[in-house]
This record gives sequence, C-alpha cells and structure tokens, in this order.
Amino acid sequence: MKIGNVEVKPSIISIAVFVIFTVFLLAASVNSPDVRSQLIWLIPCLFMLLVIPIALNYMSRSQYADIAPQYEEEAKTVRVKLINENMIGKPVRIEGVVERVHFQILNRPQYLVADRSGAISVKMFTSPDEDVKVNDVVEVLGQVIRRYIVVGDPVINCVSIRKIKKSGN
Amino acid sequence: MSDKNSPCILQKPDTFLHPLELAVPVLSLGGVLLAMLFSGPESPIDVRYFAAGCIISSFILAYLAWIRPRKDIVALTTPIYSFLFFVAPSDFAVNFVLELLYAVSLTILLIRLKMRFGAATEYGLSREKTLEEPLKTYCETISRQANDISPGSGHYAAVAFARFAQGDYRLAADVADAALAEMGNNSPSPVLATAFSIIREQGLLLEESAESPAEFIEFSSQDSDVLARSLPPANKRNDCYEVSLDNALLFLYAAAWTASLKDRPLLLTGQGFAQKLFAS
Repeated sequence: MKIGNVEVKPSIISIAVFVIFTVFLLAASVNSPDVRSQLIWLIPCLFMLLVIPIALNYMSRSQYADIAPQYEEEAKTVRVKLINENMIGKPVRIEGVVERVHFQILNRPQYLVADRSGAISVKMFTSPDEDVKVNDVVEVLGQVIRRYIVVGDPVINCVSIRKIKKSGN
Repeated sequence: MSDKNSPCILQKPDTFLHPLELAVPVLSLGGVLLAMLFSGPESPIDVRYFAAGCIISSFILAYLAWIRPRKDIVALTTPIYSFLFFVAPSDFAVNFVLELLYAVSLTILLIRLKMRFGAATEYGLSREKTLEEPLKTYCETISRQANDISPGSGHYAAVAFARFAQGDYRLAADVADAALAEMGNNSPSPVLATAFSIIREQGLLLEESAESPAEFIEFSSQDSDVLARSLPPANKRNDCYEVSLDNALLFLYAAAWTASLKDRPLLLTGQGFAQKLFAS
C-alpha cells in the first residue's frame, strides 16, 4: 500500500490480529444480539487495530526516508572490522552478505551482515524498502549504536538496506 | 613495559571469578539439597527459606553477565525471576521441585554464559583500566624491540590511533602527516614511519570511501618481527591491504603505549578496537 511517496508495509502480526478479531466479532455478532447492538463502536475499534499499525509504519518509514539522504552524504564506507565502540553515533556504510535475518515478521528486522573482515548486527526499527533475504549482498547505511542503548557491543542502527546483488541461490 | 608503569591493578582475576562461578550451582543446588532434607511434614524449618540459595545465585549470575563485554539479557534478568518465583506472593507453592528446576536452569544459564558470551573482564573492571592479552604481550615485545621511539612520536601515534578508532579518518591522516613531517628522514624507527605512512594513505582513502588501490604502502618482510599479524602472501592484494592497516594501527598502539605514558588512559579507551584487530 502506498500513501504519498511512502510504501507502507504493516507487519503480518498486525494483519493476523485484525483477521482474528474480525472472525471473533463476526462469530459473536451472529450468536449474540447484545454484541450486534454494540457494532457501532466495535467495528471502528476493530479497524483501529489495522489503522494504528499502518499509521505508525507510515510515520517511521517517512522519517527514515527523510534522513536517508543525509546519511548517504555523511556516511563513510568502512569494513566491518573497523566499527568499534569509539564510533558510537557515527554514520557508516557497509557492504556485505546477509548471513541471518530475524524478526522480519514484526517489522523490526535484525540482520547479521558479514564482509571479509567480520560480521555485525544490523537492527532496523521499521520495515525495509526491499525484501532482504539470507545470502543477499547488501549495502547498509546507518549509525553505530550500542546493542542495548547504553551497554553492549556496537551494532548498526539501520536507516537503509538495499540489495546490490541478488542471492546466488 | 615495566610493571610499575602499568595501570594494570589486578594480576590474578581467576582467584575471584572462579569461586563466584562455582557459587552459582553450589548455592542453588545446595539450597535444593537442604530443602529436600527438611521437606518432611514434621520439619521444624520451612523449605522456602532454602530458596535463598537460588536468589543469591541469581544475583551472582546477573553480576557475571554484567561484567562481560557482551551482555546476556536472560542471565541479567534472573534476579527478577527469583523475586517473582520465591519472594512475591503467588498461587503456586515454593517447594524443592521448583527450587530444583530453578537451580538447574541457573546452572544451564551459567554454562551458556561462559560458552556464548566470552570471558569476563578482570574483577569486573572494564578494558578502560587494564591492558589485556594478547595486546599486553605485544606491547611488551615492542617496548623491548623498538625502545628508541621518542615521547613526541609516541604521542602522535596515540592520537593517530585514537582518531582512527573514532572513525575520524581525515584527522588521523593529518596527525600521521604531522608525525612524518616531524620525524623527517632520520626516523629512529623506520617501521614507525611506515606505520604512519599507511595510516595517512588508508585514512584518506577511507575518508573518501574509495576502493583499495592496486598499489599501496605496506610493511616489508624485514619488519615482520615487530608486526602483530603475519603478512599474507604477496599475491593476495586485498588481504595485504587490510593486514597492512591492522599492523600499522597495532604498531602505533604499542609504540604509543611504550613511549608516551601520559597517553595510556587514551589508549585504554581504544583497547577494545585494538583487541578486535588482533583477533581478526
């Protein structure tokens, strides 16, 4: 779904929650006259289950789209090995192969991206523009942060991840 | 590197951490054992008191997780679970079965922590207070083999390393350039001059996000005695390029550690990066 220039991608979980509650509501309204009398506010509430995640996704994706050019300009291309705790807050660009993908279903994907020098976690707090899979060669643009905000090893808070080569399989 | 100049405070980390690691299963399973012994209906002691072993073990496990460079969120939260299971009022009874399951879980988490989350820092001190192996041995080697580096060059080396670690590649290149200008052609340590030249060249290339060039400055095979990482075969140009930078940075670190005592606090803040270069 596209709103303005922003491609909105609600998570599968959000859609599943909406579908489940729709089924519940349908079943309850068929069986109970009391529920039918409440449909005037139950149906808007049901749609809010879908509208709120879409709105949040739209806001986060439009914000990421706004800051991506700034990162594109400022980020330096580095090897993974050069990223360390002294670079917290620095914009970086890395190129590597996606070795693992987690939490895509929640629209909070976390990738393990490796190049010849090492591997690093890349966390994204919204859905990516492209569907990135294991073995894809990608370019990651983001900021070096600590894994748990104030502690933990350096990871990349991803602003943009795009495939620069298709997976070999 | 003389020990009296080293800020390393502690010499035997294991004397403190190993007993703590042992305390996790001993206290928790010991509490379970006592709970089993006193679980009869006529026992004068409530078995719930022995859950204290599990609670204390949880806090020890959380401490052991906290002092590791990589944090294990599961081990860190065990004190909360111990409170929920054994202290907070709940519908389920605290008996030795619950304590046994909890104690076994803590032991498994301890094994997982040791296997997957690396070694603990000494006495919980961070890398900002003490130099760790293998960097410590390398710095000692450089202090023996390249002891003619001046404090001024050592300071330049420290600043160039720190700037590079921070991702300020142009500044690192500028510092390397200034160091080379000051040393001139009469550098007492040609390896140091080569290291600065590599930092200047690769710093500028990184600043421009440029590809590695076909021709670049690298150490010669005669320098290999004082280099941290062995030189790759000459036909592997990408490896040569990357290892040149690693060796240059590590040599600058060791030279600065040896020659510029006042920069040691600065160098310790970059130790994590230096250790990473060693490990790669």
